[in-house]
Amino acid sequence: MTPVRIIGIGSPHGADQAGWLVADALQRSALPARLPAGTVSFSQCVFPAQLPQLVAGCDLAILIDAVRAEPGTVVEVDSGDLTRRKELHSTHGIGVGEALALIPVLTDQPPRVVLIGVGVDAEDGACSMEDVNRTLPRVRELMEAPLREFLQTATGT
Amino acid sequence: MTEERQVRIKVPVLARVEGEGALDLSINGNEIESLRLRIYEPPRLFEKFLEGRAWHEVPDMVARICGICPVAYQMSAVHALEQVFDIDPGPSVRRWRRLFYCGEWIQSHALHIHLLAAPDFVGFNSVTEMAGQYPDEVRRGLRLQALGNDLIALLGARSVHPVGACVGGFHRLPTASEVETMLASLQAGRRDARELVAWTAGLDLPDDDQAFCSVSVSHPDEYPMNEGRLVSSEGLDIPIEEFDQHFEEFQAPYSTALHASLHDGPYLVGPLARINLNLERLPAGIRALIEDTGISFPSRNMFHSIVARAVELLYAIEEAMTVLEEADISGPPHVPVVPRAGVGFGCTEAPRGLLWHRYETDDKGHIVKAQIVPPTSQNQARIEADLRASLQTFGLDREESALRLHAETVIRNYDPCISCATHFLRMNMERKGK
Repeated sequence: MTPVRIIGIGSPHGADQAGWLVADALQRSALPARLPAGTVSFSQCVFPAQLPQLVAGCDLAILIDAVRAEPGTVVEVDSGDLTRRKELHSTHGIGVGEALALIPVLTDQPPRVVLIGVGVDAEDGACSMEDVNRTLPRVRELMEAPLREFLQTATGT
Repeated sequence: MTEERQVRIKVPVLARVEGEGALDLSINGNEIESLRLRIYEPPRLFEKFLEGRAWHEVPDMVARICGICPVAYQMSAVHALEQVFDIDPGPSVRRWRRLFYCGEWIQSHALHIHLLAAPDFVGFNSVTEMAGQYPDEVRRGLRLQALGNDLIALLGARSVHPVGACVGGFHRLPTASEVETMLASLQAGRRDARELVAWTAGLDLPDDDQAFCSVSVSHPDEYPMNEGRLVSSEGLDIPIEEFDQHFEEFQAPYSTALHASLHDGPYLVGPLARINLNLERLPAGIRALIEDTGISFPSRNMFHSIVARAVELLYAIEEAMTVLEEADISGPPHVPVVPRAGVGFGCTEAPRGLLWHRYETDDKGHIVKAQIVPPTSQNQARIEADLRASLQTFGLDREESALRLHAETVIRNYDPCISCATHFLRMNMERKGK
């Protein structure tokens, strides 16, 4: 169980796979090698209800999900906004907002959660690798500060 | 002089169960004047999409119909196509399929009990609110749901819209180490499931006795999942091929989902119907556990559905353990298929009730015609009948908010596959008279 977890949220299909593809691209990048061994792991989340279990015991969880926005753009999502939303649109369980609200209730030491949205064209329903690759620099930028702060705390420097 | 041209266009609107719903309720004094559960999701037209597609494409296509019960769609489809092609995949594949189905029951039932239905019975609006007071129960639900997903992925390669099933069997079988790991997980899940049965039976469930007709698949030797005859609590006992002769699908003008009737009456499919009709097929240990709860099946209280779901979840875990303990991983994962023209039927038990498929193919095995009757459309008329009875028993003079909550609870109790089943209800209420 690593202290930092990077989790792509989505499914194997269409635009919904953007979060998975970005997380996968990060895993294949130089990022893991930059961090001390055993610091970071990557996973895919299909059902948001899995999130409390996927982040349990870690210090920093970076979640990447598809959002309705210009393909190739990146949005830092305020997880507080999501958890305050009352309206539910999922037949089969809970959405990301509710899952985020469950994390502090169901985990003994809730991790810091950073939620990054990658833009997809929900009408078109497709997800191109070109758009995914365009998001990577900004995604890395958004991860930089939380990772630095984690390392400072972990190493006491 | 031109002759007047008459054009009649008939568009059969078929598979469409996920969607949005509303309840229109009109009360006059102490009488319900009208009650309509409306599903207004646009038609999804899967049956038309299937026409012209090759037989081997069908399992992966129908898996996309539902995000929570793709296994059921795949299993009904492969059975129907194997009947067309006169294929017997043999006892080994049959057992692997039963295991696959167990995974779906576990994840679907765990999800519905803990995240969708339970908040109604412990006084919360949502699972996020409920988790504050019942964190262990919610954790249990998430563990069990994950267990079911892992079991689906064992044979399906992934838990969402799995791709491992094919006509004739599976694309691959698990390895010995995968089997061993899964057995250990199931052992832990079994403890959770036993606790769950007692917990659901201890909930403060409304006492609501109603007469209704239960319908399920029934098999002489096992609790029904993948095959058997169609039986009802009113004496129906037919092969699945005769479904059309007894059941009728019809269009209610206010719903895009077809309603269904059995001999002109509503009927119930799903866990309570299954347990009502197949109690003696459950292992003795599970029947003893049910007896300990003090709840008797067959039951006429629809709210006992949550207990039936918990019992089935436990059964699915025990059945999965049995299958894996006796598993033969050396056999071929599937038998060869030679397509031909014909008609075939498949009827299996999805988590929320029976799912009937009929396919007609040409000599190359391309789909000429498909018919899919999902459980939620079969339950629609029963839900409306239940709402009428249940609201009357509850008291029509209650506040609108109380009526709304009770109506939502009744509907959710069926685990309908409508895309906003959690708090989906937009209730338009008209009150006349006193």
